[in-house]
Amino acid sequence: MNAKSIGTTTRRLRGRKALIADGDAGLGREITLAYARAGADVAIGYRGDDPEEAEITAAIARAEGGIVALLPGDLTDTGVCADVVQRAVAQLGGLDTLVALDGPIRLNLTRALRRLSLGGIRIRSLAALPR
Amino acid sequence: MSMDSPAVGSGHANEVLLKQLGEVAVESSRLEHLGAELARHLKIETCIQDAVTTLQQMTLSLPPWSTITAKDVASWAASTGRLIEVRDRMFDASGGSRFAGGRGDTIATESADGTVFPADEEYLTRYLKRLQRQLAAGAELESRLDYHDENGQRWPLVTLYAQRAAGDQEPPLKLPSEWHRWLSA
Repeated sequence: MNAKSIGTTTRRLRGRKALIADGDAGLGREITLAYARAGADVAIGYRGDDPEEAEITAAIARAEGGIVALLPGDLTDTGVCADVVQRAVAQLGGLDTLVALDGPIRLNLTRALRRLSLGGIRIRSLAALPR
Repeated sequence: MSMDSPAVGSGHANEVLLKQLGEVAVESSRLEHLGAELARHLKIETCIQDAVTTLQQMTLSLPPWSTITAKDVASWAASTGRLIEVRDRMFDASGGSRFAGGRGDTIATESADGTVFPADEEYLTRYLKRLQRQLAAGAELESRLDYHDENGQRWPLVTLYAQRAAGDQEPPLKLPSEWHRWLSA
């Protein structure tokens, strides 16, 4: 299988909305771009101290045609997580998938999502990755 | 552990691995979504994250027109669950991965539970193929759960449930009365 061709031929996640924590660089960037290539709208959560990497990732992702939201903030802070999730839902129009490889950040974001769901904000469905 | 850990390394080989890991994230997530769709077909209330596990644990009741069995669905869910577990271990480990080869060709990956697996290009290619085969198998199951009328037209169950829930007109299906409960919300 040619890794470069994977996901470029079909838009199999069109209409899906994903929040990728630390999605600005490294593996997070690749996950962001893989979602964008597959047609998903993506929100990139990143620490605000280095916007350059995030902006590069966002520019590449936008070229795929979907919505791309840049959401700076320290996701180790539970209050910031709630704000980031809320902005992701607002800017993407919902949320289907959460990708957060860092355990504590994943826990923070998952809690924030639950609170928002209970508060009436519509999160259509959610898969946190990894579980 | 941060996703942009420098331990992930650099170089062309690493770029390929990162791309593949990105695809693993997408394809495994699609599998979880497909699991949730299958659960909805079977009128099981669950969230996406738990759907695959739920399909394995519950006694499944399939529509009478289905051309598959509950065992088929449970088996699919079990093998999907194993693939998702591998994915979780892989991502759990990826930030701490270390390069075994001088040019970064191969990484030995150790997850938090001590599992070591070779996260090289060949391994990830095989794993991605497994994910894609599993997706195809799940899509086939989904198709065979749907109702196909005498003209061969497919009626996706989830759409029919939604129509009923919204109070839309009766779907133009000629079903025996005892089958109608499957279409109620």
